[in-house]
Amino acid sequence: MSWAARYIQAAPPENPEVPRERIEGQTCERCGGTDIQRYPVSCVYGARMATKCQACLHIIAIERPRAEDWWPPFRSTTYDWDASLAERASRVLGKTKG
Amino acid sequence: MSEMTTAREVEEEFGIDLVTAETIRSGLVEVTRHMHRTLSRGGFSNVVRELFDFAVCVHLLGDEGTEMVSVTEGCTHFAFTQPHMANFIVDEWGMDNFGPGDTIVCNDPWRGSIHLPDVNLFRPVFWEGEPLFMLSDASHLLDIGGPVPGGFNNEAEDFFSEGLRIPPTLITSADKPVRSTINLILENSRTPLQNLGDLRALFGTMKVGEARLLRLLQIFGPEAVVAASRYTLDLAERRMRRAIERIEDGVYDAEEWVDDDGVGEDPVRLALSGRVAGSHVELDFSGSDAQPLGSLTTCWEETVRVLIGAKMTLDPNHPMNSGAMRPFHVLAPPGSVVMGTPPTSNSQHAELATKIAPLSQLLFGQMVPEHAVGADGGTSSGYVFGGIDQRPGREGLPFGGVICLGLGWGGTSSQDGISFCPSPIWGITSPTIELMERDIPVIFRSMNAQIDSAGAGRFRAGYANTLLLEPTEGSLFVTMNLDSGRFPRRAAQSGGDGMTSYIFRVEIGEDGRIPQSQGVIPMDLLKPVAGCFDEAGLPDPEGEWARGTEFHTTKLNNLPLGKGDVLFVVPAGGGGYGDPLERDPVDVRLDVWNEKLSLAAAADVYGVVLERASLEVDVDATDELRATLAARREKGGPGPRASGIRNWPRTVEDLAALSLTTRPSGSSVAVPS
Repeated sequence: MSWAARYIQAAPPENPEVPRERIEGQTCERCGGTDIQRYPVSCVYGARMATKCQACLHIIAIERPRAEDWWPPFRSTTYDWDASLAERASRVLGKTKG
Repeated sequence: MSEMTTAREVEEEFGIDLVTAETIRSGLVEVTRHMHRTLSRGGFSNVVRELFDFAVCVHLLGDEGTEMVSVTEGCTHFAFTQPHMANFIVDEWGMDNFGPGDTIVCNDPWRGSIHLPDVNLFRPVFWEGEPLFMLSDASHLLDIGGPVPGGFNNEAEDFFSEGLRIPPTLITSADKPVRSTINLILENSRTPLQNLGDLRALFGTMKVGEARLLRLLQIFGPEAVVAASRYTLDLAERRMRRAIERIEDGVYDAEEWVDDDGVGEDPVRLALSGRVAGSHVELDFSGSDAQPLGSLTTCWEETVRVLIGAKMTLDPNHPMNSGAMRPFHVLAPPGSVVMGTPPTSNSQHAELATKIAPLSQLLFGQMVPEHAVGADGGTSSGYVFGGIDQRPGREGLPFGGVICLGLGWGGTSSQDGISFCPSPIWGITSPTIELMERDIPVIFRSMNAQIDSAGAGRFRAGYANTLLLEPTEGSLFVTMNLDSGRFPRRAAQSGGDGMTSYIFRVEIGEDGRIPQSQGVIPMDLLKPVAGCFDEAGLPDPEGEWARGTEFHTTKLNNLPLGKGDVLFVVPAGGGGYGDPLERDPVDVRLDVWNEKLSLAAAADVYGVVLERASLEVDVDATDELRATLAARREKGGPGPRASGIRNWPRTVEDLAALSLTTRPSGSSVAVPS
């Protein structure tokens, strides 16, 4: 899925919910719980997808969101485009400080 | 996270001795202090130079993302939003595309900005060709275009009706301002000169911050500064996790209400749950209302602003940095009022934010009951002025200005709430009135504490700042960001709730005067604009919302005012803490002596009987009255009422009588010791 498909302006849901994906067949290494879910969170680095045990909240994985995660709710159309020369002129010129 | 309980462990973990680590930790804060002074002295608009509605931060770059290592005094919520915004910027722009002297500007709420008038700047700091840190500063520009001066279009239903939206955009390249970006901002604003002054101040602030940070790198070397930055983050994380570990594991719930979204008339619910497991907390906004049609929506920032209550409750004394955010995950349903999707509007983000802080304090106050507090006034009480000047010598010049009135904070377990202090969500300052009156054609006739308005309690709430304003020449437009008009503010631990907000129009007397006493104006001179009123048409926080009022909201949008139009604004009061019948009678007497509390309220609410002439406490009568009130409550009678004047004076004569109830005329009253 392209990020371009993300710039939509659909009507918001009447009862908004956090989308959760249940991970089957996985066991929590800390408590042995089997209710493992993957869902969008805001963590210290911003938007991430967390996989956590719902019994003890043990964090099994933290990942950068994929396009199909729709998280955060907005991404720019050009999110995965290459930068133009004008946008990185200073880098190209190779000037350094310090 | 390292344990860091000894200097040796610090050295083993980070490769530097503790003294060096602490010296650099302070040095990083000092970088932001230099930036703060530069920005506050260089800013052109009153928003920057007086309100301190800005931020200055240093972020450490890392493979996983950036983390803010230092920030200093300014507008509180930036200390929470800037770390995420830096990550949004780096993620989208790409660190490989930054060069030395590059600065990115962005004001987009979907990329972590608070609202469109805030321009946020990000500039990497290089050492020998490698980017190590990112500096950021941010400020609220007076105007960013759109249909309403100041950018607060409280009637906006989409962001197209609010102002210029700036995605990450290069604004300096190799230290040269990018002309097209500067012009884009200036030419879409009503206040280009102030905006240019503020932008230049932001540029200069970055240069100062870069020079100070490079000096730190020169003195200690890049390895030590990076190691000390990691130490700084880990220290804040460790303190926060230790505080969380003292909380009993479990799920806690809280809710808050906003009066309306400025377009419809339904109140908007904010729900927040917190699940504590060991040293980790998962906060969840599920159950909050869907994003409303009006502009009472935010797009990302509540996921970090909600941590303000956690910081205030769990570790209020340690300097803020991203380490304190590590123990938290926040869930926010897309399409909800706290995670709106395009093209929603968010002009009233402030009225949401000022509910998020007390909501978060309520939640964490349940987790740590000894740190529970009464709610503050729960509104920004911010008023944005704009128009074209007609004063001699200024004809035709556009003007703009912002004033935020202080609120009453809630009572705490150890002391009365603070008076005249803006919401903890930002803690910005009030402007100098004389400078406001110089810069915009308005006169502020008075700012007062209103008698009986603080929520009652063993430790009562603070007092809000009322305002009486009038244009002096021509006309101006004012947008009023005010909430808490509908629901009295929550008390804690059996205290009394705080009074609701009001707006009135005022009739000026034939002699040009407006009689008032103790922050009260006779009702005969007032026309209700918004608020709760009783059947007799008098203000009553427990009365009916919008009964007989001009508007069904306190969020007035672009209201035109001319000379002779006077507005009287009474922001909501905070909630008290603890049973008012347990308040020290000496403190009650002191409030009466200071004309903060009427004799009637001293008796009715606090059960304290004061001798009318001397204001001395009648101990026997007080004991008897308190026993009566307590017995009445035990039989199912009502608890402490919401604060606010009962039997609001109708006439000038009634007003004089109100004065007599607090300071007997001609009597000798000793100063309370």
